[in-house]
Amino acid sequence: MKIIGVILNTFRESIRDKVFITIIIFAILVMVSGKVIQPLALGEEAKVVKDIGLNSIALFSTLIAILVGGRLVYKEIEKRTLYLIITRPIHRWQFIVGKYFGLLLVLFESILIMTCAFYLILILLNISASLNLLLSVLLTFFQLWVITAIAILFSTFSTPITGAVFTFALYFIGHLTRDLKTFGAMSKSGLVKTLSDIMYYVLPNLANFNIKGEVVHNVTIAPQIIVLTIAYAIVYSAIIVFASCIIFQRKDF
Amino acid sequence: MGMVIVTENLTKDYHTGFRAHTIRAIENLNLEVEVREIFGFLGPNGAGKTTTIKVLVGLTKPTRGRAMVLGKSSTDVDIKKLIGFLPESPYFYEYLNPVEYLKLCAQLSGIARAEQQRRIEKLINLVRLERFVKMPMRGFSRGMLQRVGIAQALIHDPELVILDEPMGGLDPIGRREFRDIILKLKEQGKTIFFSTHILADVEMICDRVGIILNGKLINTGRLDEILGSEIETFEMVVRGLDRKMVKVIERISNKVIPSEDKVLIEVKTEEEVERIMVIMREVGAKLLSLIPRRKTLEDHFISEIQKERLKEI
Repeated sequence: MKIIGVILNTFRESIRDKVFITIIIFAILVMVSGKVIQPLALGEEAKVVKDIGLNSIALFSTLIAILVGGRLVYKEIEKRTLYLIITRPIHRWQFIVGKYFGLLLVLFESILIMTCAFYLILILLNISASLNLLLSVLLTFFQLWVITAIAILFSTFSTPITGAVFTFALYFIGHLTRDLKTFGAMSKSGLVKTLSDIMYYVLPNLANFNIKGEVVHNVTIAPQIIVLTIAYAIVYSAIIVFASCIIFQRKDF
Repeated sequence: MGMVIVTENLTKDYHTGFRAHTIRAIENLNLEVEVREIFGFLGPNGAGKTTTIKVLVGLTKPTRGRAMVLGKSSTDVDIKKLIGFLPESPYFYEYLNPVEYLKLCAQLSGIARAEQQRRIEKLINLVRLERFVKMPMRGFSRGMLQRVGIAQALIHDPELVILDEPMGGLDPIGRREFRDIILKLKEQGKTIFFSTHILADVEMICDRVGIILNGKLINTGRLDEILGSEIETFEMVVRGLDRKMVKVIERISNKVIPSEDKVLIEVKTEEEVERIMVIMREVGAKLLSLIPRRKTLEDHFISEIQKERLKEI
């Protein structure tokens, strides 16, 4: 399978990237710091440590997706390494899809390492490490499907810095799209209502992926919410990856 | 004889600055490369060689006209199984070693896993990289990278090999080895299309050449047809001519270059050689060498380019 070749090479490239290793080490250090601020937690040590742990996994894996993903295709174009890949009997879309899943494999590995470190810290601090926390990690991983797709889309036509800025912007806006819709609904202007509706459906809705508060406070989450959120991630990222393939297909090198 | 490459009115435009400015890289290029020949594609910098090659390997699409490779459009993905390509100053994944890289290329070319190892070993031996197989390519010299480049171009045993400036950055030994590899490929029945600046290499190995200038093909043909076998000039080196005699000889030859005790004289005909020999005998000068010079590819290349530039004026 040719696409497997691209996936495995992307994986190999990313795990040998210093950015990846640095971020993982930093994430684990932040998780450990939960122990340091225990005295400030006013008896809520377990919740604070869990909160810091889950947020670290989400934040640092998002950083990897944006910083590594944003350079992934651009670097190949800039360094002309892709000349010797796309002149082989491989479709251009296979290259983009391979790059996408290669980075997802890297993110899966980094989340796995950070989650193991997180559970180890919980065990060492004698904090109950319920499997419920994994639900939040699972949705974080699917949120990365969307972020990675956006990062790769920008990587097909812009520089890594521009791409990273726009992906970060979309990441933050993505957590506020619900508020955007509410704001539109409150407005008297028809134009503002229409615009906010369009933006609500076009921009990624990332708030649904954030169930950290619920799992830390042991609030039950309906299984259909999890399933629908995962389905949303798959459909949204498929559309973005498809758009990246179209841009890349039309590109002259 | 079958054609491996055919371009018809091939034109490629590049747009810059929000399409405000258009640069025509190649214009109405009609090129034919026959099966099992070594074709040298010549031209000065910026003439359109690399753009033509990029169209042939599917990296870029023509604006107008068409490019057919082995009977199919150059954008056809399946045809790439039969093309080996080495770009100018190739870049590789520097974190990989040559074996890992060749394995990736083999995999992307659809070569069965069992066959991959055998081909990689054979090519590593061919390009003499045995000592560096475990070394990441990060530390490789230009010559070593060029060797990896030729190995990756041949990993899938292609019918057509397209090389963009393959001799660039190679030392004389590397160039010679490269020439030998190209000749060996021809023996194996492959067609080789390569662009270069190094005309001596072209003269040594090419069956036919094409010269491109400002995106237009200005000449194409067999080397023997282009260069012919006639003697163009005679180059004489003489010792023992004084300043007065040099002045006399300057009336016969328009190229007389005196140095310490020798004089280099270039004449066009045998009669002129005879006349100079008579003068030499009279003054007791000694003929050190007499070399008949045939037209070289470099002479032809430069005169063609000068002709085209004069037309533009």
